[in-house]
Amino acid sequence: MRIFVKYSKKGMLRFLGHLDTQRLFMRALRRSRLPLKYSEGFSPKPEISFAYPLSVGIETEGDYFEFSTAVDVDTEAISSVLHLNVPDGIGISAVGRVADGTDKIMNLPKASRYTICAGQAFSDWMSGRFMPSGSYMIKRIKKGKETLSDIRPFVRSVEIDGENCTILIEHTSGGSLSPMVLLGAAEEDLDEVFPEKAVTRTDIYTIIDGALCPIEDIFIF
Amino acid sequence: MIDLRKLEKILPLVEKPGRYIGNELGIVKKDTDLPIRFLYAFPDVYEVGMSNLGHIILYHLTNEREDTYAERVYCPFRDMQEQMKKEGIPLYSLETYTEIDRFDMIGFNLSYEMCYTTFLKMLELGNIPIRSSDRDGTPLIVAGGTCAFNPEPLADFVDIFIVGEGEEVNDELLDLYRIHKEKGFSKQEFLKEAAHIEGIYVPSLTEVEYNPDGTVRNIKGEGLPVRKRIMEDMDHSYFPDTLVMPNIEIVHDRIVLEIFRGCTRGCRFCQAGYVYRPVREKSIDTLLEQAHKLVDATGYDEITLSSLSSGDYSRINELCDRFIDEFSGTRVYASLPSLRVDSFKEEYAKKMQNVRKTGFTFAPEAGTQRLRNVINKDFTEEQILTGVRYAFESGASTLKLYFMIGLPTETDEDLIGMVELVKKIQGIYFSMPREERTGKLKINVSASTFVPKPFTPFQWVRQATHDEIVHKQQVLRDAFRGLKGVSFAYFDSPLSYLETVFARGDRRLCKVLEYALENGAQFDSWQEYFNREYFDDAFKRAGIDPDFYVFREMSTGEILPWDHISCGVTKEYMIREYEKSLREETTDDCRNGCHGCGFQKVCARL
Repeated sequence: MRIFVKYSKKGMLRFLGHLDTQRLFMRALRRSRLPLKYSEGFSPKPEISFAYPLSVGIETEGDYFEFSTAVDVDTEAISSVLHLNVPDGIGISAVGRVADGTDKIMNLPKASRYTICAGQAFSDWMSGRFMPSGSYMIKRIKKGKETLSDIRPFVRSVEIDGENCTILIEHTSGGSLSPMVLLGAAEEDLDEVFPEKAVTRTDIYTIIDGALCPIEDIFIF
Repeated sequence: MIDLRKLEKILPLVEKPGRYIGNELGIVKKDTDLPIRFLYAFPDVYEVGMSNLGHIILYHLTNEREDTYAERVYCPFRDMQEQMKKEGIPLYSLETYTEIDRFDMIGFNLSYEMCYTTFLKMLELGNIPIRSSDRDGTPLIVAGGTCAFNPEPLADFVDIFIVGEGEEVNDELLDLYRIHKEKGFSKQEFLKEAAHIEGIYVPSLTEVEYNPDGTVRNIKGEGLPVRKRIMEDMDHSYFPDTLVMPNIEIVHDRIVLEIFRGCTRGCRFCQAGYVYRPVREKSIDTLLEQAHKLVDATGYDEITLSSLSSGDYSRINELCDRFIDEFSGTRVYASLPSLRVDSFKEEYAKKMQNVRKTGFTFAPEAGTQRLRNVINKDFTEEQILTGVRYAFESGASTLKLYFMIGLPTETDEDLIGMVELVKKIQGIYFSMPREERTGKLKINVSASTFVPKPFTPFQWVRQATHDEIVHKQQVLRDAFRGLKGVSFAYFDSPLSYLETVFARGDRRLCKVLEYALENGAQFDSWQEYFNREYFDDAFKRAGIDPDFYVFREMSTGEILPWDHISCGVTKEYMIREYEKSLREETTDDCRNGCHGCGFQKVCARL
């Protein structure tokens, strides 16, 4: 049975990198004593995979991973046993099955929504400078080489509510954009360092029937 | 509590920020206004420290006390140190982000001489004066671990040493502290009383006089001699139900379960083999119970059954069978490292090692029978070769062989013997029918430099000089050249040299450590940070010739800098063993007959 889990990661644990987060859930699953399905082969491991990596330092309210059990298990029971086996700072928001034939979880993400709270200057820059421009070129270092790349196409929409800036960033086959890079671009352009920067991923989206919806919408409870 | 906003600002800028955030599953949460706040400190990075189960067990034990909140701290790496300095963040505890100078006591685990500067660095990062005499009240600096057996090079820095096993002593010390704190704490009065607890050493209450030739004339003071504490009953010793689980990958990311303490073999270079006497086993029932607790608490799928020489567990076959039975079908694997080569013909060796084939490790230590007799590594070449044959037959093609060079009485002949032995091992592999060989033969030979350690029969022996070591390495390199499938690794001698200085040192070396710290020394056991010049300069400034501690054959008649500490094995026994070594005589495993090392009464009770 394929199980999808939606989780949050907040506070100090936002400084835990992607690999460590994966390991943390792997151990939580083992401690939970669920009847996990293991991979075949020489050194069998529980099959667990994650929707989309998150940069170090960003909180999340809506990240996802999937795993499989060898037999059917009640999803509510999974939720409560997982909850006991993760450290403070990690929350299990939803556990559900998915329909047979659902694509692998890493193929689902098409966009992520983030809330960025970095002060009025950033909000103004987003609405006044970044969004109106047709393209926004920045220098990025890829594989040790400096290249120019256009980050404007990744940002699909912005909603501004005072100092809170909610943005929808697309995940394409050509990559994606970390909100940290966007913040860096704004700081460089404005020639100032924002003293307080809080970034939260609020959800990861996939496309169902042509419409963008949170991955959670495909859960079967 | 430190300013968390500052911390959050720097964490994205450092490598592996997960080291510095705490919040692990299984940490103990308590009120911070309890009467005693204790801090367990490990002088290395988080990944190394968290791999040491000993201090985690003590952490949980101390937290069983209702009057005490115990927390943890490890040494931040250099990038983090720089950022902390920039922001003015002092070293803090991982549970409550409390500045370390706010604790009542800080207990350091010192397991290796080359962690001394890192220990001092941690005090410095916590704005705590490094010298005991510059600290009026709290925190009290406590230190335990293997290095407490010769505590002298740290005598000016540490308030209290705990010699031996800490479980009971810690409690007695905290009880005494509570009384003193309630009546108005005076460090001097507290230390005076503490010095009379068995297993506790307070260096500031002792004095050392020296002879004109630099040797020790006299050691006197409060609470001497200090006798090591041991727990006689391993089955009823404390074991926690849950453990702190690291959030990031650590060095030993698996369960390490100690099956017995001590060793009956008596290899003459091995400090652990003497200071952890007598042998005390956990029963199989206890081990299974503890293994289950740990599997449930951690989610690990690998259990390493650890000890100094696993094959010597008295009911090893039964232990292995019951572990295999108990965990079959659970995807939990048990492994048995530290097997002596002579136990390799046994069934259990195959059973336990077959689970994950990662290759085998043997430690003949010396290349000829004569030299093995000197060091009392008493197996024969035939036993080694039989062990190797079994390893190959069970499907291994990779072997690790550990040797030491610079051993007492060693000649070039012994070195060539090492190469001859490797050739014979190679021959065994190639004499096997091709279809029985698996993979490609790989023999990794490594030769480390012998370090004479206190509380061994070789404590009096000098270390080989740099030129001698270079010569020995050259002889081996030449002789190993062109051998098919064999790679030869040898190690830098400056580190072994300093290890000897601080292993056999006295308290005059405190100055050297202080200067080395000033020069920038820390993380000395990390190859990329070790800088010989920090120490060369420190010795010069302190006016100390380090060769005195390294290249001098000490006399069995002189007072050794650690003679006021007792590990339970008598000095007479050490002398006897030393003399036997010079006659190339071996001492049999003491389970086959007592040799009277000093633990006769304890062993009779066990």
